[in-house]
Amino acid sequence: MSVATQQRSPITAKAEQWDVFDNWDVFFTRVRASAHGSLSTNIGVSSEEEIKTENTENRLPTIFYLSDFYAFGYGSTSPAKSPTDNPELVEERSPEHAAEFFAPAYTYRSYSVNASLCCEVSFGTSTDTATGVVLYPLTGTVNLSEGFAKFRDQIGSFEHLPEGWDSYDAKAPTKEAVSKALRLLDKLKEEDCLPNAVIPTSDSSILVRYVYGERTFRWEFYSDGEVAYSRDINGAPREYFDVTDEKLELPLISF
Amino acid sequence: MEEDAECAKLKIPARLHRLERAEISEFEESEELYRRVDPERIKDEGLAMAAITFHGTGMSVNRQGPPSMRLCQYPEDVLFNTKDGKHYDGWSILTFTAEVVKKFSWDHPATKKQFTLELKHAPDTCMYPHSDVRLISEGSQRQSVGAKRFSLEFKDRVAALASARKEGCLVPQD
Repeated sequence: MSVATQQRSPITAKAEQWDVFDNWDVFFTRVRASAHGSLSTNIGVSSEEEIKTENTENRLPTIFYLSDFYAFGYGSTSPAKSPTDNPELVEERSPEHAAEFFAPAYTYRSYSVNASLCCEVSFGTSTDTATGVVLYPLTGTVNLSEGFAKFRDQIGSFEHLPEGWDSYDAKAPTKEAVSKALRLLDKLKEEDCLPNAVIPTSDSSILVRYVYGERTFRWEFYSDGEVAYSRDINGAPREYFDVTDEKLELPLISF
Repeated sequence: MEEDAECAKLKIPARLHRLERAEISEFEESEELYRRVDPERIKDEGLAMAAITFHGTGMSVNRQGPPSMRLCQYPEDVLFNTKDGKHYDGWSILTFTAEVVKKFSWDHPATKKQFTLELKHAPDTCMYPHSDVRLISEGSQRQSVGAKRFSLEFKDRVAALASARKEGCLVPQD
């Protein structure tokens, strides 16, 4: 076994939280990227075979939002539950698409969220409930600046979509919707939280989805200038809110 | 099979041309309804609501037709665009059943008004199965349910009625 060394830029991120879903034998973590655009996390994997087994058992998806990451696994079957507990190096992995390598059953998922460079790195492997399996940071590289620039360009382009762009009768979102969506993107950039989806909707609005803390947010910017968002927390009913212009100026943590 | 010359130019299969066929007002509960979505845009179930809209005449779908007279021989017939003849290969198909659409109702949390969905067969010249899903409240067609947070919630509810026909195109959102 060898140590992973493939880093394309300085890694400065740290794991923010370590949660354990004992019922599913899956560990979960999120990692926030640094302002410099690099991301680092570890995933505890003891073998590829175990992961394949896990994925055929219809359990929780084991990896998502991982594409574009260079991934190196450090695994342990010890009961340690934080990255500071001396993980045993198991194996080096450096696939082009980490999710494809680690979780073959979820390859599509990884491609489907290939803009999801933010905040959301996960996790998981088959596990022994007696000992647990630990997830450790996986080394990856994310250029947040490029990610935000890409989304900024995308949002700006929505205004110029041709009528019927959705193959039905959708119109392009208005300049006002674009402007407000860009204001949210600025807030997300301040927090290094890259959205995992920025799309126009058939209602001629703009939808921005991101994960912040433990919550998944979906903001919808309507062409009449109104704004609303939904907030999901694991296990709780989804909540919906309207957003006034004043509220849109509040820090991200306010929502 | 008889065909419409203009529709044939668009390479829409003749079985989908309206010709002289009349509207069929009744929707049987087992009947399916299809709406195409771009999997590059609607990447998972959490984004499916972005394909829902009730503006204009309603949300465009193709109806499967009653068992005795299938109008959509294949769900993929909805991938034909009758405006330009383009065929949207690789797109996903949101599938509803007439039963869940007809039984759907939603009480507006603020106004307490009830919103329901109504199915209307609206054949196009080149797409006989074309239909609209209309938003109804107090006996009239509506474009939205009002305040945007309710609109967002409502679209989520409607999207939840659908399943993605093309396996793998819409994945569960975690």
